[in-house]
Amino acid sequence: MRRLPSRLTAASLLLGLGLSLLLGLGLGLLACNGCAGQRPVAATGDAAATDGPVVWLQGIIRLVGSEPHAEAVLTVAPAAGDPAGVSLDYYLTGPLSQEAQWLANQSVAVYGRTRQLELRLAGSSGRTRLRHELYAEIIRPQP
Amino acid sequence: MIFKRFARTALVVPLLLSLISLLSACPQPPVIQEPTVEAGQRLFWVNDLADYDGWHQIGVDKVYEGDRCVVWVRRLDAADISVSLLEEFGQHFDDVSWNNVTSYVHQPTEFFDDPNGQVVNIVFYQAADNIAGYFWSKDFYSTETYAYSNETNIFYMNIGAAVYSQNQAAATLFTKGTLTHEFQHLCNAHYFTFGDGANRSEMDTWANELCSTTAESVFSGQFPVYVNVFENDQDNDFKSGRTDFLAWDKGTALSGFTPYTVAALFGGYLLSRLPEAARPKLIQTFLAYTGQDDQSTNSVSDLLLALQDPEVAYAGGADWVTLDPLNLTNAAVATDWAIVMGGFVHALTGKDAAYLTYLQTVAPDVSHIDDGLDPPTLAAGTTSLSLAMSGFAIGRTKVASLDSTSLADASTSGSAAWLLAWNGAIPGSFSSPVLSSAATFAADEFLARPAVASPLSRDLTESGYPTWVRDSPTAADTTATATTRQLSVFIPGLGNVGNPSDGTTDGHLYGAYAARP
Repeated sequence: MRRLPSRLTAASLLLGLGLSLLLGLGLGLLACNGCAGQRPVAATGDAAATDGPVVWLQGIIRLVGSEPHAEAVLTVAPAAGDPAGVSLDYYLTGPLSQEAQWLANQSVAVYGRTRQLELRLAGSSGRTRLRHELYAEIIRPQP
Repeated sequence: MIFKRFARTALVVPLLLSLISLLSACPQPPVIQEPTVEAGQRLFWVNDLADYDGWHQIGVDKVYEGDRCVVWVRRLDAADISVSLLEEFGQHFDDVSWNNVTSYVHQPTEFFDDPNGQVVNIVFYQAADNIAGYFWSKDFYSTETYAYSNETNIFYMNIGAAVYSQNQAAATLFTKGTLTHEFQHLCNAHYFTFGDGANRSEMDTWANELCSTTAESVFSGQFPVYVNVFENDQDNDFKSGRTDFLAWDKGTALSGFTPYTVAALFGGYLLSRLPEAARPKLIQTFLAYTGQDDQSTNSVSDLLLALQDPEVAYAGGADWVTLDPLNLTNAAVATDWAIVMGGFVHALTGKDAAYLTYLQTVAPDVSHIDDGLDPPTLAAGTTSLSLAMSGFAIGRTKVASLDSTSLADASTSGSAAWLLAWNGAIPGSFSSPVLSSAATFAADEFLARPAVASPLSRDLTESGYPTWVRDSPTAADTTATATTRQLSVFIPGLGNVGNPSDGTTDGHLYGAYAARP
């Protein structure tokens, strides 16, 4: 994603102000349940998902992908004594996944259930991509 | 009569208020009748329309079909942008973006049986916010995985950014940069989905954006945009040290465009330190080190490993510590990162000849660079400075010795100097939720910035700005690189322990001084 520099956003600001005023007129009706389903988020299918254990995992929070669709992952380094090991990325899901983005580059421990998905890629090749997810229930900074 | 009027008012006003409240509280999507799909037309899912809240399939018309792209415009927005402008963008993608990004980053190999062949689909429509364009990797996946996948190579462009009646030339230049920027994201994601990086860890977001801003600046002439934004510092980010880019725009009060500006200028700095022949290798090598089976777990150490690779041959200087990817230590990574960060901050003072020469070569129309950059500096009277990880700031001060690495040595007497300050903490090296280190100064240690040399009225078009500039370094560029004045910023460990930090004794703030004319 690429944003606009400030000089090109005046119209956006005016539009935002107008929308804010309009929203203000809505008073307390903002909690309308009817809105809930109007912003569907592209969700991973779970047809090929395998639920894993509930665990504590330690690693670094990273943001990956490009804006505005960057995602938070917990990158778990290879175990000590395994210098040629492979670090593993767990894409964070659940309500804390957005908050986790604000902890980018920090060492943390995350508690939650892991799962592994086999995501089908587009096209006729039938290729798939593995993705490890961690449903974050607790995130604690680590010393 | 009065009663009737009151009754009518009493009836109408609540009805109107209810209607307004209902509409604003629970905005029902307006009914949009997209035209039916006919031959040569397509439907694409988007979720950020200016006139619709939620996912919607838009009907688009083909406007341009080139060797490597098809440009589409939403039929309902077609009146907002001219066909000739869309054709110009398509031509730019074919001639500039495709050739350079596939050569310098990665060439897509999967085209998803697209009916238009081995092309990238570029969709223009009126998007809702101030985003100029974006790429979304969900389109690489089957609709079984992501219901709203468009199942093709595609990125999205905002007509609101591409059309700007007050200065169309500037908007056209900017949009050409966006084409190259988003295409880099597409190729980058291709590498980690279908290429050699498949099933490896992806780049950090800041690194991915660094690749995009570098590509657009070098190939689509965006350095003048970023140099102007930097020098004018309209959002006061550079003046106050809100410049950290490793967390991208999360965790600080960064303005939306500032991290892109920092990343573009940083990418230019890195390239300016490379031999001419190695420049095309930088992003490819960075990709190759990302997610490898080594002890590097983030893009800072991946970048440092790429820089020291013989294919890239970054001029790190005598103090550079050669990193062993299978035995990385925080101290070694921090030392090399300090060299890179310190050199970059110094280059922003405008006194790095190689950097200026490189910018002049890639963007020769930024004529005022001949006189050096004019960096925004800490305000006179600044008494404290807080820098998040990778944040930096420049001050006009004096110092007894230019060799000092202590921020406390900023003074009202001594040699005229630039104070260079940056937070050199590296990812994973600390865990405090408050990612900042603070320093304090006496009230009179910083001098005011002289009148800005490039006022806001400065316009890209005033200097006869060309449509785009390709990277074609000259012999003079290479010569200047070889005679670069090196800034010595070797500070062992995680910063100078004499500088304030976030409460730890190993410190994260680095300081250096450079002679100021």
